[in-house]
Amino acid sequence: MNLKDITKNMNLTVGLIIILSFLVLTIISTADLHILTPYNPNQLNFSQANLPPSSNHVFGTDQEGRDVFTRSLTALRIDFSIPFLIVGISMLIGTIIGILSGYFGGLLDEALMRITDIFLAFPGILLALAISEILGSTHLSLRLYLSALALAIVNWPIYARLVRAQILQVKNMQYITLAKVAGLNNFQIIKKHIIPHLVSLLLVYTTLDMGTIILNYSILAFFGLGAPPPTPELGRMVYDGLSALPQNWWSSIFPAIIITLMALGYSLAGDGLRDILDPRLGERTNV
Amino acid sequence: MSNKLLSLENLWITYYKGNKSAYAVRGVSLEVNYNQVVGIVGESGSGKSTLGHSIIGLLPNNAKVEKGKIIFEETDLAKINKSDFYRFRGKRGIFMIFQDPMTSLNPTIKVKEQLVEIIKNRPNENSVNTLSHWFIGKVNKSEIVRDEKQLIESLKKVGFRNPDEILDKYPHQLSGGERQRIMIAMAYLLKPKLLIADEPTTALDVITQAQVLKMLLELKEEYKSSIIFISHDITLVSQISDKVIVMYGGIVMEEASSEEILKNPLNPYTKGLVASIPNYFKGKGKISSIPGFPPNIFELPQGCPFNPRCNLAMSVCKSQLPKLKSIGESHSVACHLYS
Amino acid sequence: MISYKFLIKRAIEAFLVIMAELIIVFYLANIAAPNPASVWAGPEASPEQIQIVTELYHLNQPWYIQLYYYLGNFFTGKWGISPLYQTPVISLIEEYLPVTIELAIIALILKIILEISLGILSALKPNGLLDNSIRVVYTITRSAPPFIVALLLLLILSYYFHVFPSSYYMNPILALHESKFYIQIGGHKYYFWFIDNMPILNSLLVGDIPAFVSALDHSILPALALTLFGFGGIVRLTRNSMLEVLNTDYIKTARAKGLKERIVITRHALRNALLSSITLISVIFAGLMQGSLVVETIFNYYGIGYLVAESLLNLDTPTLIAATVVITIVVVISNLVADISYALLDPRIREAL
Repeated sequence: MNLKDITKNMNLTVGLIIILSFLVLTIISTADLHILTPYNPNQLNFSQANLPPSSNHVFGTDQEGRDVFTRSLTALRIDFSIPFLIVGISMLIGTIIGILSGYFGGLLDEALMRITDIFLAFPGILLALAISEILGSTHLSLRLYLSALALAIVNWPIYARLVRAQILQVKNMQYITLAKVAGLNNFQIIKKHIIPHLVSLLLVYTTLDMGTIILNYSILAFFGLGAPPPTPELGRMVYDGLSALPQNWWSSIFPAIIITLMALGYSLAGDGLRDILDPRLGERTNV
Repeated sequence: MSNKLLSLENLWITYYKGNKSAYAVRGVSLEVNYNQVVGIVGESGSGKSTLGHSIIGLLPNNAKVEKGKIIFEETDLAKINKSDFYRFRGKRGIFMIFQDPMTSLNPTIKVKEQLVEIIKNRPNENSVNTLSHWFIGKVNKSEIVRDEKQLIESLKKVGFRNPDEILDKYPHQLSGGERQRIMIAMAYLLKPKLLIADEPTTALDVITQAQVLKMLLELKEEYKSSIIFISHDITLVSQISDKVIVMYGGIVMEEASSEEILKNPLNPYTKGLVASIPNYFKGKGKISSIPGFPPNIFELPQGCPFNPRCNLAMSVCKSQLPKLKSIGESHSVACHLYS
Repeated sequence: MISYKFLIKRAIEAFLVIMAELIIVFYLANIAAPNPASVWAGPEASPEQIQIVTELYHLNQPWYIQLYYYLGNFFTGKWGISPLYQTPVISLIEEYLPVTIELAIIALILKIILEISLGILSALKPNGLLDNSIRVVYTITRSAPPFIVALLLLLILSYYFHVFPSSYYMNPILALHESKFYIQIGGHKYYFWFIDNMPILNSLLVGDIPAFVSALDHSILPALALTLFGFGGIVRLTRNSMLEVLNTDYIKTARAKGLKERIVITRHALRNALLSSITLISVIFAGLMQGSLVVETIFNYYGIGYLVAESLLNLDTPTLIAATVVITIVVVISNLVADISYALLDPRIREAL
């Protein structure tokens, strides 16, 4: 996969552009917000409340007079980076379990797969919400990370299944190859076969997963289970804006649009990657 | 009235893959008379199966008749569009049975209903489809009694000793041989003028194979149907056919009566085919085969498609496609050795 | 028919899922939390209340005793008292759950009709205009969070065009004196708590037409929001399933028999493609139950999603736990029903069982 492949694929190109733009915005926002906007994200200013979008306030202001655009930029610090943490953790856990299960087989495999099945049967977000709430009610300051953990816990089973399937596939080939080449191929060489394919599989899937996690996290934030206020978060901003409807639609809609754009970036990139790396990878249901 | 049932004239069929395209059939012409069995022999990639599918209008979405005519009783089928083609299929028209009996029958519908469909589908009758009918698969009782006799007859003809039981079964409860026999039973019910059999015995054991051949011949005798028998096995084809057509790389290499083609093959490819028939009576026979592999249609060589594997290849063979030329009575060959 | 072994196996699996969830929640709320009593009593409880709660839930006893009571209480319906609403949790669930079930069923039917038909139509002309347009739309709806559809519907159809009401499940005035549905057998009146709390069904059965109309009116936007959330997923799955079927040999055989294309599609292709779509129903339903969280919050529609949302926002853990487990039970049961129906309808599996 080289630069030419990347640019030829429309999906991947557009997706990457979106992701990179958000990355840049997040970095600038973290470093020095005032490059982009003169306002303070947390400053209440009731005289300026509920102003519609204008040249002064690109996204308008919310009920408490805060500039929505500024808050969105600040929110990116969390909303853009936390999904990496979540996907990272769930991928790690899932991959390890998948490898253990696939490689060792037998009773361990049975047990781990049963557990995975049970986790898969849970309605995902719901359980994550419940876990976040229960844990978070007692450790308010850590709530953000506990919620991330909750989402990761609910998300790892799919990785486990994916990885295990790959290992099993190669394991079956392994016996045949070993038999044929009578010990000339040692495990290292075969691992060289497993790992590249596994890596591309994981790359595609984690990219797609990022989109889902961004959405799921926004729901958690919506219900107040993310960072504690007044730290802005896109999901929470949507909720806060609900009571200002219908006159003030911009304080809810713009954050929602930003979430959509972020997720869109990842899903386009994921599709593009999949086309390049392995068109045979099946579609995952994302209901 | 002419004796010709089907006449293919200079047929060219294209396959599309991604943004590439290639010809699977290149300028093939052949004729089938009424009540005649024509065998088409070829290896994979020869275009024989594509040819068969094109006659009945069942080419896949990525294939298309580019040039030529398919004249079936004075109608050019190549010009008929998908939605009207049904008029030429089935009853008293063209029917086709396929290679893999395991997948040829609908797994969720009982055998009875799949056969009854044929009888009920008279030209001007619109079958009534109630919601439960097409979803669960039950047929109205009064309709069955009338038609069941015909079904049982046809099943008996293909060798089933317990037709009542078979009618009630689902396809997955039957073996491959049994399923293929049901396909032939369908042919008995349809009484088609032309039956195209695409490798019907390849997936079957030798004994069932013989039974199937016998049934096909009976079909021809009793209903005066014509059969196009497609296979890679030249001996098999010769047993049943009146005339045999050998295809390779999308073109007709040779055409002759079944006796002629085995006794006196002219084209080097045909000679190779005939020579590779294992002959146990020759004593310690060698197993000979044609060296090399049949080409992929996207990588066809220039000129005669067989030239890379032909030990008599001349320089003209590498540049020009040979044309079919008539040699004896009813024996033609496409080969630069004879032109 | 299907053997009992299959049914029992699936039932046990379903049961295990519920048990696992209960245990996880138990662990988090009673063991892992540094102060389980305040978890159960609510964040605003007074010390006396905390004391009562500790006694009530046996929080000062070893974990196995706690677990024993916990599970026992759960299966007998003693789900605690909600600190937020000051009522037994079970009556809250009774009141709110049917509302969502009703809404979800409406959305399910809409989704099935809409998406499956579009899927089939797309398959009939692959890469045609319909197919490609839906593909584009799906790329966007796949990335859209559940609130955006609800918000857009709310804003456009409710606030700006005043077509539909913006909140509650029925005009509150009508809801006040709505009578409850019952069946009279012998001398007794049998009430169904389930139907009582389904606004549309109840008002229809009772004959209260103004209430019925109002309930219907109020449910259209939320139902639409639920239906459109994730629009396109089922379309694609159905389309792919249909395409797979259309490329099989048995469809070739059906055509070879001389059947008209229309009959080939309806009698042969649809049957097989739709069969595999049945398994989708449980997936859809699970998604709808989860989607109801956001949709009901935005529309103030008093269903279990709304209940969960309120308990999340106000740290009402007993209600949250009970509602979560109940929703899981509903989802698990719908999975079971879908699996069994599929097994019944596919003759190949029917035999194997």
